Amino acid sequence: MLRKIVYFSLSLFVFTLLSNGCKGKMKTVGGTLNIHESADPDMLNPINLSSANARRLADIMFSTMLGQEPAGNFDLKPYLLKERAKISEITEGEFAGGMKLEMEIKEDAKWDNGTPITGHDYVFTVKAILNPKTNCENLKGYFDWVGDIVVDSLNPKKITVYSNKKHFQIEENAGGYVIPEYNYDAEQIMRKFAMRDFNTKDKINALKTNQDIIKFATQFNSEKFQRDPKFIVGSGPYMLEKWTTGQEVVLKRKENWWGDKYASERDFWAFPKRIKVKIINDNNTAFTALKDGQLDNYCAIPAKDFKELEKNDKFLQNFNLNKVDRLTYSFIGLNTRNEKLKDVNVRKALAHAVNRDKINEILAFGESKKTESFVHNTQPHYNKDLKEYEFNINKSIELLEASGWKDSDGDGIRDKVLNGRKTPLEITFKYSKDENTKNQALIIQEDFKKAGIKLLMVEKEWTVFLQDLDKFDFEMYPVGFTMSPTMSNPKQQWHTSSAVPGGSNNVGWGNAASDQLIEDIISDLNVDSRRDKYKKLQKMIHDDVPVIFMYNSINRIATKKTFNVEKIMISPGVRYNEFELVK
Amino acid sequence: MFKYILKRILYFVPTLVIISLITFGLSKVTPGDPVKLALGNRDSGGDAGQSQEKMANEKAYYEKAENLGLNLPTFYFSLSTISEPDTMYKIIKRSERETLEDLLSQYGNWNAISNYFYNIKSVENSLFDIPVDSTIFENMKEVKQRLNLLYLSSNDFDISNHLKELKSNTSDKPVLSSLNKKMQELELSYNNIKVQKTISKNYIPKINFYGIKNQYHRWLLGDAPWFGEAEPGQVKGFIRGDFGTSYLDSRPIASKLSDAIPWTLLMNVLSILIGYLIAVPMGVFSAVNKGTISDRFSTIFLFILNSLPSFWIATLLVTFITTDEYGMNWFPTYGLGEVDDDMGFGEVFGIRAFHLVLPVFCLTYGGIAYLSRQMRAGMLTTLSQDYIRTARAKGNNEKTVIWKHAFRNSLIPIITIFSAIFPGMIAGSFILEVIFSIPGMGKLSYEALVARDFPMIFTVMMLSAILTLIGNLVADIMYSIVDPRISFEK
Repeated sequence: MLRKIVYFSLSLFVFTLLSNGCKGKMKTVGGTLNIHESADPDMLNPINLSSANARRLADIMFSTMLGQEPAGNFDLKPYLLKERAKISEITEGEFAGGMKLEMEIKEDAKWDNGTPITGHDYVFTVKAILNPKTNCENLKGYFDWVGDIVVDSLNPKKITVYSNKKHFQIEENAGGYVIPEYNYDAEQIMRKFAMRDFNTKDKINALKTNQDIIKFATQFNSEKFQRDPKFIVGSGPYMLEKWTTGQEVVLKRKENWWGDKYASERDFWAFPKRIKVKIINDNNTAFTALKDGQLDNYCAIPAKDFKELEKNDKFLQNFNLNKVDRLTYSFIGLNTRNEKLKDVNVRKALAHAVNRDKINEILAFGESKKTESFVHNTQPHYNKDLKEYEFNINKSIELLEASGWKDSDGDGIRDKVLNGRKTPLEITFKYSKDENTKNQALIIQEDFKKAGIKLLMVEKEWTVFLQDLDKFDFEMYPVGFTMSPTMSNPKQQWHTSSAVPGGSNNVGWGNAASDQLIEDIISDLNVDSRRDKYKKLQKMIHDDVPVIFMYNSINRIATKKTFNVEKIMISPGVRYNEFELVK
Repeated sequence: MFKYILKRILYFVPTLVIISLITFGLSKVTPGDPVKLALGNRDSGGDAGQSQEKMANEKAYYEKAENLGLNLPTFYFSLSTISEPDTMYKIIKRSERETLEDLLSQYGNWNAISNYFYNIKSVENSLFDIPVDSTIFENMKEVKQRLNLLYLSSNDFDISNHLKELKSNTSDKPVLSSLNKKMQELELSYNNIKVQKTISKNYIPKINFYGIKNQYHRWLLGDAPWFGEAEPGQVKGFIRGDFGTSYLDSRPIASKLSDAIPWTLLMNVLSILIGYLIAVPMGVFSAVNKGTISDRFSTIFLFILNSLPSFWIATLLVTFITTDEYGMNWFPTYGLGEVDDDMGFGEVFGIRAFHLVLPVFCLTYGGIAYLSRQMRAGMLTTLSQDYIRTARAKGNNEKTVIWKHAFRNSLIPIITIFSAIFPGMIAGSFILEVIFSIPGMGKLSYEALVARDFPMIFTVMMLSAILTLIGNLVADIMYSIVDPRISFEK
């Protein structure tokens, strides 16, 4: 009995320790973090910016309604909000078929001037986005569902959002940045318009010549709201202290930040007192600065350099090296409109003739991970049943033979009569100038030859390469993408409506079933059934081989031993606000 | 002299016009769609399959084109053939315009070609009215893809193939029968292009006049009134200091220049000053001591120096003497150093100067070698002149002979080189600025070139041209100062 009591007490003690350890990490603010970017942020207005390095800084200067788990399932979680939105489907009335989202902003969330963050700021932010003259073309499309937003007259922290359609990403989109009306629209020009004035394309178009709309947009787009520390105001833990173009951007931690009350939650960690972003264009220079200790962290270190660092004892005295999975994937796109590549057997034959292991071994020291999908294999919506198209030249030959591709003239290249013309199996591999891609193509070229396929390599300048993709002027092309931590909208890349000039479905893939499945995914608000559908879509794509999936990459990170920081899969691999000084 | 300077300044005008024309012309033939660049290469995909969305995307494209003034004719006039309409510029989408131009050069009958294009659009618009179900999905997909390809095809084999596929995908499907008539019209209109071709029209030239509402005029002189307030969307033009807005970060070009020019100017002034201070006496010394060991040594040394590429030396210096790794952490690795507002001038000067040592060294050493060689050659030529012998025969001491009589007359090649300094002052050295992370003009120009940021490229090219002209004028004036025999008076 006594033993049981002791065990129970011990278990309780350990449990208490563990649970406190998990949720109650106390913050220790201090230190200056020196990191580097290869270019200046384009601007620090969270609505107008478009560069990734600007987004990283905006994320800690401005607060969003919803945050995101940095690991695991990357679930959405409340940040400015008290809790996640209460979502219901609207069945009748003006917004029938849409959604209703009820949200409430945290009581203690406030701006730097001490005033509370309210629904009016949220409404203003959405109006600023939808103002047809503001420079945020990339963001406007994510708010085309807005029907109306109503702020509770008794409690301005309570907001009800009405959407005019059902879309699984509406909660995520509605949970974006909020900016203070008092700073960005001191004259309250946008209050002259109701939210409903922006809920259709026609209404928005009609506002284009409105003088107030133009006046607000001109002011909002002006340089001071993009770069001037005095006019860049958010509710995040950091504020812009100094921006010396081309040299450094300095963020300073706020003294009495409202979020400090929530410091036990990871999203509200904000450890460094100052974050200095050094702008160093040249990778070699940045790398030297790192080795010299002028930088505290370096992400995305090339494999070759990382290997050298692993052997550098002097460096290892001061730095920790880590590897972490990265939410990226690469593939080789196949133009399914092309007469030769229309045939799924030919596409499968190509997939079997690409030796991904060899490419990985030679070009990435075997560190990249093969992938079979556009979803990362650690994500919950990844279809684990996908089988790889293993490297097998015989299988490739078999598939080509079955499709009638034979070497009729003995020149070593298979041919077939297509549209009345004898067509050799010559496939163009179009790529943008890059040594690694070129080497990859050379390896593929050698293996293709064994299957009787001639690979012609065509190098293009990046803009011309994009232009050719837009014009469907390609047969095979390599590309890499960053993945969304959450389930992304597959319509842009895989729906046939995107297979237009300038659309993202460059390969021109899709069929009635896949289009329908994508539509179903979009309107499915249940995460579990949506995941199942997502897996089905991956299977369809995998079976039809419109692209040859290649790799997920690895992020190699060096961090000075004076800091502790958790590595994450989301780019760049760390969160700047999470660097904690080691005591 | 004054008259000469005035005349030269007047010559600037036509020279600048020609340079502006070349710059502008280059931007028109460079690959890449400026509208798409300004839109951040945003996709027009997503819901582009719906007619409303397709129109919205096209509208966004046209609006951006309008904002950039790209909906205007390119120039005051265009030289074309009578087969080409004078409103060709109104087809803003570059890819479509190129297809039309290709067809025109093959067949020459604009009416038939425009009718054919109209029919493609007509079939495409009719597609949106047909409800899609699984029975016709594949056919619809094929039809849409073929129509998209027709917009981009000018080759007869390709077009015929697309038309054949279009027909085979619509003819046996009752749901798509509504398209049959339009499809026939499309086919007929293409046949008409071939049957009614008027290639001879391609050989008869024609000039179209468009007035001042054109892209070149807008860029150079602007469309805003010279007096009074400009309306939203109007620009003042290059001449009036409105260099436009960068496609990269939407910042005014003038503001970006004002950040970058001081650093490039500082580096270049230092480099020139140091370069001339070392190279000129070195060249003179070398010439005076021609054939001695010191001359030979300096010649070899300078030859080696001149042949070392600055980007390579810069990389070596950054790697080896800016870090403890090789035990030589003597200089800062990059940038211009951190300065605070409360620092005194001396302290700021010290930090900046220390950070500029390596970049300025890399910028200068090659120039020293070249300059001193030029100085040496000029000096040697002068020293062999009769009047030098006379000066020596008169009993002047060697110092007077060299510095008073020979030196001044040897400066002509140095002055010629000096004239190139002016454009160099703002052009910067993009490789060195990138390696040392100096936020100057070189880096700015490099980023603009890589990203096809045309407003920035225009501005840098034009400013460089203006400074080249100024440099040449200054050189001319200096020629006459150092050598009174050179006179610009008649």
